[in-house]
Amino acid sequence: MIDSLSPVYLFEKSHSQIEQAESVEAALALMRENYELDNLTYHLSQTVISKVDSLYVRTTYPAAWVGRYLMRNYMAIDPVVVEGFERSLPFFWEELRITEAAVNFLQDAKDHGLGGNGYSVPVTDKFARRALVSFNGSKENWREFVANFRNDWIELSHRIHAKAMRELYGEDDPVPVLSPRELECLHWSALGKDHKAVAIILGISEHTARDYLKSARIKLGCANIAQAIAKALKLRVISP
Amino acid sequence: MFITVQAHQFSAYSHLLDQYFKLRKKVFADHLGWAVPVEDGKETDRYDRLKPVYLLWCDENLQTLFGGVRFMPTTGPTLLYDVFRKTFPNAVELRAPGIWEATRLCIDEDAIQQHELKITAARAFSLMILALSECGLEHGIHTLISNYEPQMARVYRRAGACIQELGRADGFGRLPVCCGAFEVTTEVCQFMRETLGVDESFYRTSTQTWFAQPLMLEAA
Repeated sequence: MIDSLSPVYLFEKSHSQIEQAESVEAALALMRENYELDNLTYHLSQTVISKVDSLYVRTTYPAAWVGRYLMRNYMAIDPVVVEGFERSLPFFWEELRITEAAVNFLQDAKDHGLGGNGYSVPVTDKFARRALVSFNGSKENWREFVANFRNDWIELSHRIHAKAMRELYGEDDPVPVLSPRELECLHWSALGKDHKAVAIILGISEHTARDYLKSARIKLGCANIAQAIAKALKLRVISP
Repeated sequence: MFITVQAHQFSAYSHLLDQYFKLRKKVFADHLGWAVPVEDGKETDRYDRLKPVYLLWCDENLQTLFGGVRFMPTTGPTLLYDVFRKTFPNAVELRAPGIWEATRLCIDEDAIQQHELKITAARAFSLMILALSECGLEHGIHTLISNYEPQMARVYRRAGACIQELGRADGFGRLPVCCGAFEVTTEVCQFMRETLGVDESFYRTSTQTWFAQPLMLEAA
């Protein structure tokens, strides 16, 4: 049961699974299992796909439903997609405005045994490409459940997007450019200093030290600071 | 009240956004003398076309704007990083989900006075930061990167905000511009509410407002 597992464990497990999974679709399936969700979907905004004609959507929804969804062009009325791509802040599906056309769509989904609650995370990358990662589940106390994992899901959504970009464009991760401050924070962490000590040494607030370390960790694509230090050492960007 | 306006609501709230863009022209172009693009008496730039989130402070009838701010995720293109990088390349580089930038924060002192809100400019700015932080907390944002004039740091700190100055730059206008990281935590929000004497009801109203939307239905 998910309740007996620590959020950190689930996050780190999901993080490494996303990196190692053979495809975005496989990564979504693993995450679904980890978080005991019904379904997960990664959807790249069509406005950014110029090199490919086809749609880039990866999902754990049953193939029969995906086929029906595409054939009936539900994408054009699904509120999660239509309104979701306009949003930048993560949102609960119940916040979405339901148009008349969407009522029939939602009924059809229900008739196919789909439904439940949803939470979607809009992703924007440095090239202004936008994607949406949607979490669908039927846990009780959905809002509380989401609140528990929200920040982890937001970060994992960005990792899924990065994987999708690799899958789609074959972009490989270049050696990340870390700023002097990020390098300093990593350097002191590599010498065993915690956030508090790093903050004191550098004369910055603890919160900011934490931010620099997070920023460095994300640029290095790592799930935690220990991993980030190991990678930074391997890449020879720090030499404590 | 404070409302967030995102791209799907731009047309529904165009009258408030218009007031906000006009206010930005008045504040940033006219008053502070920044070299910002102005058209039709409004100040907008390329970041406004990237579907940012606006936090607007307006009257209960959603007719008069008292203030506004624009915020965007630092994982995407951001103004401060682009602009400040030229001036001091190493200061502003925090980029992560959960870290957002807030720019073009301004208040309309005339509108505030006309509506007899009896709020000083310092308090008005502080309330905006509090509302922004509360909104951030709801959405997994733990740090706001924002720019401000040097004297504002004292105002914000007096209001209970935790700011780390990341750097400052000259050459924008009459005064240097600071860039700082604001901590967004439950503790800081609580402390700001206490310091500003904002009661629980204000908080509830404002959080409800993030979600309050006409025509809201339960999704199946």
